[in-house]
Amino acid sequence: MPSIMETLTDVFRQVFDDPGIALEPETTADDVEGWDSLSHVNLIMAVENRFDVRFTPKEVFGFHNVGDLARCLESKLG
Amino acid sequence: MGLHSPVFLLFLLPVCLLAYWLAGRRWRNTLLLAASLVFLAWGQWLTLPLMLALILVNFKAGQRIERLRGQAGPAKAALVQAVALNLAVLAFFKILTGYAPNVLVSIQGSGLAGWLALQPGQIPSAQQVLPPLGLSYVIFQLISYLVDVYHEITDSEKRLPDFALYILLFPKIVAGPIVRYREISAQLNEREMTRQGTAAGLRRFVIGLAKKVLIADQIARLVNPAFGASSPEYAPWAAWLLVIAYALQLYFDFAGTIDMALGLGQVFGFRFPENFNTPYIARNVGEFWRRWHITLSTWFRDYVFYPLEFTRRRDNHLRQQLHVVLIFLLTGLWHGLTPNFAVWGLIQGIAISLETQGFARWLKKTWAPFQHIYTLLIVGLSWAFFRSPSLAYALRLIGRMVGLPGSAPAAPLPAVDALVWAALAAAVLFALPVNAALQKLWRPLDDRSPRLAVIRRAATDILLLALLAGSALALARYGYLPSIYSAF
Repeated sequence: MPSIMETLTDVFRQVFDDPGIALEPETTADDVEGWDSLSHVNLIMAVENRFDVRFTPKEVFGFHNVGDLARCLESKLG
Repeated sequence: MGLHSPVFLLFLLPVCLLAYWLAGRRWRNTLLLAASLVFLAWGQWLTLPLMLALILVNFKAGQRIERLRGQAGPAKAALVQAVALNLAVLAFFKILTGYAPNVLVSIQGSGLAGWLALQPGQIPSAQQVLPPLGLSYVIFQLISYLVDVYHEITDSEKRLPDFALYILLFPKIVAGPIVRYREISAQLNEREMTRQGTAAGLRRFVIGLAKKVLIADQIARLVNPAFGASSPEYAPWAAWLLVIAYALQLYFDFAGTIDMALGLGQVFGFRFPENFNTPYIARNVGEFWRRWHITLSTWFRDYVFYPLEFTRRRDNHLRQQLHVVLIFLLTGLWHGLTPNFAVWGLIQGIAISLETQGFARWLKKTWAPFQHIYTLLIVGLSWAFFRSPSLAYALRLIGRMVGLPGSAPAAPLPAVDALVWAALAAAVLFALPVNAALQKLWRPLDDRSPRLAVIRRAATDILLLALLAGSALALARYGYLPSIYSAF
């Protein structure tokens, strides 16, 4: 089974249409081409659909980098 | 009162600074709150009861929403009620001040006129009548507080004086930045005050003062009379010059005021969020909005755009684009409920919507100067609507820019002295990231020679003192012009 980071990388590559994206926990919006407010919404919804989870507004506001997102998923799926 | 008004610079600021340094930790917040109340009430004393009522109502509402957590329906109802009340107050004053001068004429001499700082016998026009100082910023801060408490992103404030201080803190009352409670709540009770921080804050204040008084207000001597003409019948080159001059005046006016606010905040130990990041170097309109009035655009993103988007939970491209246009229409109307601000907002929204549909991707592959020209053209043309007194006026001005024949022979621009042209040249230079470039240049030099670093720092401080003296002279010579964004 792929890890959370591997699945996230796959979702990122699809949303940003860039097969070269390599994610680190420290990756932020500044590091990914085209990661703006609009694509952020599409990204969060794509992550929700892929992992079959729902984020609360508090969780979404708390995402400052990919590591925050992965940790939140981990606690939801755990 | 303004952050660069003589009464503030010569009286309230020195008194406040001295008292703040002498006062013990315990009294500092009380002192700042008292200074903020004086600042707010100066010349517009009826603003005070309005603000205090808003603070009390929202203080109670925040605690009520917190108590109702866990009961989805009642908590949401309490939030909606409180937000609606805040928006109603904002809309009331926006309509009164921006859209109904006839109403204002009829209320002259009544108690209500005091709210708007109307002088008896003054014939009001949209330009002369200002809404209560800071109201748009206060309301947006209050709404962000309520929503954050509702979503459990922050807990409600339990001490009314601290809540009042968060809302009324005088450096940010004039023109923002829009500070969220969660960004500042810890600082209300625990903040570092160091000599270095105070010195850095004062330096930033002087830089802001110089941007406002020595650049923006000098350019204003060209722009204000030019836009005061009943019709903009200028030669095409003059119409272009006018719009470019206004773009620079507005930026230096607003960014200067924000520098003063952030600098003063730092003097008192507060860290406010940045509001600008050299916006005119952006390569598309979307990027411009990540660099211009950042605390307003992120407010709309977090409190309007995201809620709209996350309730749909389905990928619907058209709806997302409509939301983008709507957000910028609302951003426009935040400045005032007039057709001009609506058109200004729509231009931003439509441009960004097109950019997100592949245009930005295409643009990125083009020649870099072309990207800058495109961005400045869209933003610049939109400023024509932003500044003009009516839609017809803006359209005529743009018509003159593209060489459409005027209804009268071309009028000359107002005659101005060399100082105005020097301010324009400085504005063009400092709209570029000059400061960052200089830092990059002298950081390695500072590291290599500590003695050189001392000389460099002393020279910078002498320059800042010269800017302070120059700003004081300019204020005395040309008079006080309020910050443009204090009118919104």
